[in-house]
Amino acid sequence: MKVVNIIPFGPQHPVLPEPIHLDMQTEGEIVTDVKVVVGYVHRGIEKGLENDYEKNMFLAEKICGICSGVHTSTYSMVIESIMGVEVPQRAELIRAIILELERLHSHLLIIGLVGDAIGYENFFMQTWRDREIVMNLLGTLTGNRVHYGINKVGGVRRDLTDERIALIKKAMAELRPKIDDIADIVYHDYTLKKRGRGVGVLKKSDAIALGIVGPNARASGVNYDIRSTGYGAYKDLHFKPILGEAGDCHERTSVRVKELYQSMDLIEEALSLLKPGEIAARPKGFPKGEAVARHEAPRGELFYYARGVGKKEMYRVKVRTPTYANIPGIPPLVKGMQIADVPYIVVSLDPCISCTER
Amino acid sequence: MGMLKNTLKNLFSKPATILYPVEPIPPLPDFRGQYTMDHSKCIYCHLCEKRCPVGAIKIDKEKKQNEIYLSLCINCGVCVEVCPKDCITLEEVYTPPSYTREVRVFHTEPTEHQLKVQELPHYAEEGKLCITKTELEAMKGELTEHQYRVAVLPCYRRDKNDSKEKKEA
Amino acid sequence: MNTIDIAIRILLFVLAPAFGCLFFGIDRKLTARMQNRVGPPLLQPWYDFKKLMGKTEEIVNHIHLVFAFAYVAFIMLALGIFLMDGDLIVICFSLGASQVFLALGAFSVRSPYSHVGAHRHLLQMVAVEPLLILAAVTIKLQTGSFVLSDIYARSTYPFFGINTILLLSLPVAFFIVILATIVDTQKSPFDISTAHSEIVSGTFVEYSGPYLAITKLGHWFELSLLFAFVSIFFSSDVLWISIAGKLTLDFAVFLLILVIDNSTARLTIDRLVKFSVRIGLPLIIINIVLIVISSMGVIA
Ligand code: SF4
Ligand code: SF4
Repeated sequence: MKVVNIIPFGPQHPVLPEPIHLDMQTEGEIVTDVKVVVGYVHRGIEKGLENDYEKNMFLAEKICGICSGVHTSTYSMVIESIMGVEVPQRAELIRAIILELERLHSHLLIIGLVGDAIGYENFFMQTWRDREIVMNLLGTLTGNRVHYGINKVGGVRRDLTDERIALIKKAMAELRPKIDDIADIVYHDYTLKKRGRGVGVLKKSDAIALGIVGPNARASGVNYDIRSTGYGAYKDLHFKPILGEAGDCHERTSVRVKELYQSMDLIEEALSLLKPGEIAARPKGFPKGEAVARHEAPRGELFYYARGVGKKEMYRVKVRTPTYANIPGIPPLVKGMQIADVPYIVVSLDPCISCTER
Repeated sequence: MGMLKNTLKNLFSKPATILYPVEPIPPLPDFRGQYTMDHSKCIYCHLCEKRCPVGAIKIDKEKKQNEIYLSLCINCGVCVEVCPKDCITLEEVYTPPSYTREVRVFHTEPTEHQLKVQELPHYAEEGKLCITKTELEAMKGELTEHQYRVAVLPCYRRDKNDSKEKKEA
Repeated sequence: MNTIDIAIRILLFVLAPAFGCLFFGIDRKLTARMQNRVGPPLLQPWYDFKKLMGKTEEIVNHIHLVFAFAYVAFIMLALGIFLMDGDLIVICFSLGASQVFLALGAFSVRSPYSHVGAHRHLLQMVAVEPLLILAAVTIKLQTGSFVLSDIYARSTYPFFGINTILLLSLPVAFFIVILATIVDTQKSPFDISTAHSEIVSGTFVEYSGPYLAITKLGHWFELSLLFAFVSIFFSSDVLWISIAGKLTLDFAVFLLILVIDNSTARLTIDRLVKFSVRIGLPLIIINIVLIVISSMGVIA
């Protein structure tokens, strides 16, 4: 007799305390089928965004607690292109610096969670301890550790004074050896490699077919990094998207580790480009017309569409988050794997339910 | 092997964590913390009230009274930017956690209640006009029964309004 | 055995859970320090226990509880036999029996997490228990007896004038016992059956309140038993050297386990089985063969 067990994963689960639910059909330790359920915490943010375009900034920020900066940047970008505001170069650079810092802390977070998912508590603690450096830096630069509130339509709200630039440089110098340490563990630790190699392999063709974005797609060798389109300050910054090959869990983690270095380099480059000048342009009138904007969030492509009808209130704002695009990757990867591997697979796709469900 | 080294290193170094809430978290520099205002400078222009993204400020020109709903405020700092008279500051302290929806009232002419609050220990020298329920609970031991009852009243007001709203709904 | 002797043994038995509790406390504190955290107070396991005892009783079914009690009873039995210098094989088997009861308890409820945990628990037993018994066999071959009192008496292997240390003559058996300790205390890389981030404490998931506390009590006994097992590897004619040596050995093993725990990720159950079949089994068989050959040589 075939014994089929259904094992629930979430909406309350210690490894991913976020409201996503997987129904895993298992035979012994092997997962044979899986059903993903999302939609537990729909907050109706898109409806809420039909509001004063300036106040919206703070609602867009609340879409996600980890990548809040990229949401406001994309939102300002979409409104700026509707209103035809020319953002000063200094503001663009400051935005880029904040975004890269955000990518640093977001990647450190998920690399740490990988440790938690496979029972490597010490690694988890270590990455999260080092992440604090970035968090506190962001807190000082922008005024808040999580919801920075740095952007406004037309530019940024806080300038990078020399003092703050020195702080960034100091933090980067402090962080680099720590990241070297983390990279060393990720690349060379025996148990970590054993758990990740060959687990949850996402083939390049599948990644394209499923529409996977961000580091997950890049780990499978898909060259898809929105930063290469050169929006904002990225047209002046030099970088090459980091591509992996294997597409397994370990590769996804390694790609993120490499992106940590990339982000630090980008921050240093942006700092060297910083010239004195205005940090914000004043928008005139109300938004009229429609536009789209794309950013490379830490988790992949973030897309905003907005439409204004010449009133203070927006007519419609549509948000497509990278995490939602990555959810379809879960079932094919989990199928045929052991139960023990499921947390690692799910975590390696970097889910964030708060921006998945908006 | 890298981890083994770290494990041993950690064992002999100082822990990175602090025993919150026994030890307070040191606030970050340039941090947007708890809302406070210098009420005497306010010209009742309503700008902050209009621009606050969450509607946490109520300016009452007639009563010459400003209210801030601490539980609504998201510490965004917009009010600080728009205020023409620079009355508002976000202090570099974390808003303390609380059980109730606290509201701080700022008044030009202190009411009887607020005078009482001023008599409370700690508050006399700072000249503060209102305290939050959490602060009040913290110093409950030092107060007389009467002082406590007088001081506690307005701090509950917002709760009462809430329950009234609920009943009506 | 005179009365005082027996009284001491009974006292040790009563104190066993306290040792277990303290060990878990030190464990949590040291683990925290290894992870660069401050960590809970030393007596946290005891506070947890007290708190659990005060909670409302929620039970799934009675059989579930019977198995929990059986688990604790068998652990206590094993420890009792140990303290009365009983038979090593009997100790191994009653330890095994207690684990079986734990698994049965987990099977008696309908929670899938519990079932997966139980499966893993049984598999891990299959992987480790034979090794433990073979380790006992090597001890028997070396000393000529399964009975602890004889083992203590006969394990003579002169080393700096101290009579013996089984540790030096049986490193493989010692290694196996450490492995069993890692598995039974659920530490990385073999914290498989209770893997909190996969199956939410597996076998224990349906116990709550006072009954969870009971299983914790069983766990404390189990820890004491395992460390007692480790301490067999050091004994001496001189009482204080014996005691000091045993404690040092225990503590060294304890530290080793913690360091390993903090420097590795959790492996999967297959890996444990493979590890035990490919590395543990051959090693211990080689050890047995060597002992047999050398003893034949002695005879000849
Ligand atoms: S800080 Fe922001 S949310 Fe708080 S009162 Fe000022 S404008 Fe409103
Ligand atoms: S913006 Fe300043 S002056 Fe105007 S009402 Fe608010 S606090 Fe008073």
